[in-house]
Amino acid sequence: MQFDTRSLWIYIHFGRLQLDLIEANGKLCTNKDAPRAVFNAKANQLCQVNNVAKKLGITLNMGLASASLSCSDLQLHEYDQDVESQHIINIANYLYLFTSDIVLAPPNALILRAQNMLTLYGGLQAYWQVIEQCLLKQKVHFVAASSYSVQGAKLLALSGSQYQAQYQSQHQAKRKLQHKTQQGLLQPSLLQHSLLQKFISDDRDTLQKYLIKCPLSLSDIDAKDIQKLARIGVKSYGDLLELPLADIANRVSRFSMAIINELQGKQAAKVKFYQPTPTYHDYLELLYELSNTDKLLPIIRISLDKLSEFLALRNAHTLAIKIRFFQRDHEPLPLDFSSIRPIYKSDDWLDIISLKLESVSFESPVYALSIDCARYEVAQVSNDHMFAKKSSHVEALTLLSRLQSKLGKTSVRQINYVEDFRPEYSTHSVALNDVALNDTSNTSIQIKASSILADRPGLLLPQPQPLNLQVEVIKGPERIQTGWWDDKPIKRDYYIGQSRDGQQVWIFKTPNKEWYLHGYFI
Amino acid sequence: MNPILHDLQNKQWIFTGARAKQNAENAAQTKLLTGFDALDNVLSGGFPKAGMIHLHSPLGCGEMRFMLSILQQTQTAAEHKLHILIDPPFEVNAEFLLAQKIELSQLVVLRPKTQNDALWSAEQCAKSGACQAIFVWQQRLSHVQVRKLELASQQGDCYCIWLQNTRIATQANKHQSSSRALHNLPLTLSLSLSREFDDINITVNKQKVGWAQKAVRVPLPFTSRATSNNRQLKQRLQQSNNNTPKVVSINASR
Repeated sequence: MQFDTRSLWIYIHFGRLQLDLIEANGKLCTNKDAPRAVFNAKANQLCQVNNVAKKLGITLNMGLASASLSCSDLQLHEYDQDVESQHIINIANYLYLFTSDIVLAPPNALILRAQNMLTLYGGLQAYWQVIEQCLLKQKVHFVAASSYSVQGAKLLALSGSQYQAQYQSQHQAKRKLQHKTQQGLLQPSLLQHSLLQKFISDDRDTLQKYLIKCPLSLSDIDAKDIQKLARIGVKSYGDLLELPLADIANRVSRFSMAIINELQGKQAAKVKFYQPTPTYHDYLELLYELSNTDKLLPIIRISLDKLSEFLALRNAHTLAIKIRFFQRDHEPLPLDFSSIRPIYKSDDWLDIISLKLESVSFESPVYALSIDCARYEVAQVSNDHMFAKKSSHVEALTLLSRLQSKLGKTSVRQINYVEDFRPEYSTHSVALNDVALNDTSNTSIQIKASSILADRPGLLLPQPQPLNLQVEVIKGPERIQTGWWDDKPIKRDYYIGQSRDGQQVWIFKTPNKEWYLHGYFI
Repeated sequence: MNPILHDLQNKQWIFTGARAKQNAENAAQTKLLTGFDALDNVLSGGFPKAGMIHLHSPLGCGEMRFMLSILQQTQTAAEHKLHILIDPPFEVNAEFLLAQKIELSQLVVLRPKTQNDALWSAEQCAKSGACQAIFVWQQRLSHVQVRKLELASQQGDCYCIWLQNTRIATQANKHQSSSRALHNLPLTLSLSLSREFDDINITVNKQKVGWAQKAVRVPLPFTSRATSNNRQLKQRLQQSNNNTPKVVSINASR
């Protein structure tokens, strides 16, 4: 999509997203203050380091060997781009409630178009205040910058994070950069170091002044072209401005030229705005492996709380969620949890989940889990029959959900009546589903007092058994001869019999004069 | 007073004669009429409002029809409440349930894999308050299990009906041993049923606030379409008992 070059953009870079995610999910763990780092196996470098580790002398881009030498009890997690990309979507999902135009820049950045939100929030500062609060709630470290082009905002934000140390010492006073601590949101030990950086301004001159000093190497320009430009002494954005555009265009590729044009505000960025999907997905890595389902429940609660918040914000509830348990030496174990009554509260879900997990055993320890909610529906509040029907209806649905999750879906059965004269086919026992409970088609059958059904037994044997009981016929015969149309014909003479013990039984005689027991009149 | 007695009285586990009289006066409100006068008499007014009822009978003597005919009276009050059948010995016949005017959508059959699961679900159902009646087929329940179910059904204001079927072959000795064990179970009401032609003989083994009672007879015939001459049949059967058998007696012959 093309936009005019006068829009104000905000680029938010999450420098240690995976680490933030791990620490947020691990708040139950005892070793939360341990030095922790995320390790990029491909580059053999540490790419994210927490503050405890930094104190111990671990730095970014350090090799694994030197890191383990400096700190023996460093907790390492392997870098996973997918995890970050997914979490970016979760953050975007949350931000979407406050701002409209969001661009995903996976794996670890978001771009917001601030321009059309300014009127709504009454200025950039007020708008940013809201966004900042949202991000702080997500407990992520981030660097943000605004500019009148996407590339410009990115350049400012990245140079902010890359040269954090220099940036702070040299330009702090001059640039009025506000460093704010995340008060009360992180542990006190982390407080002094957890800095979010922002450079949010809508003054073109100020922006231009800082942009000039940013190195071009952080922009999206081709690495080759950056080398070419560096050879002729063009290293920062400011250097670029001093040369006529035509000269540069001769040297760099068309792609790089487009970015340079964009930086200078002569061309609009091509971006695709994020549309929230109607599904929910959350992935949670455990800090240590667990094989005991009891211990898993508090962790499941954490992610259920998130789901619950997600649903509550949308005034929605759901009937089914899927949890995948990632096992160390085996395939992930997907488990479906369903409720007959649509619910959103994490307590209600946890109740169902804990019942089902009682019967689950893992083949090997679980190291991560993910929650998916494929469908949710908007809750519809109805107030009618509140005292008569609804209250017991809700109780019934809750009860059935509980029974299903403990006993298994196939053990909770419902009976359907099919109009067929053959006793074997008139009763259909089916696993209960949510539709059936509200289905009234069955009840429309009107039973007259003199109906044939009064002569039917309460219990039917699954297969008629040869009669080996001494009975006396008290009623009958009633001939049932039907079923010629579907190759399962029967021809039987049914009698009601009574044994000496007072058992009333349903018996029949075949044309071959064989007697069978078919049911009991309970 | 004996401190143990005092303790028991505080827990309201002792029923005094004075209270029994009082209870009898309130019977009309607090009890559910069974619809059979003879039975109401021996039960001093009818069934309790909620709780566990033990039915001891041979399989297929009309025990469920008997219960349902009584529960029918509460149907209007408990319009949207569930009937739960836990592990019936065979398949339940839909036609029978329809004839008993039970909405099939309000009936759930549970097939738990173990006895523990069965009792767990019975307790959950009873507690939930969403059920009108829970039918549990079990051969043997312990003191604790009965107590749990009793409390749960009081809490959920429903009937938990424990159907215990006598094994026909060993009926005599089984009955004795089980009835002896039953004396100690904290049941609200325990009944033994046996059939005699169109009637059911009901023996009250045990009831709260009352004595065990001798058998009473209540009629429970088939309410059938073809009004078969059951009365005549009965007479014929009686005759046949006295004289030569006229009714066809079927022996298993294969």
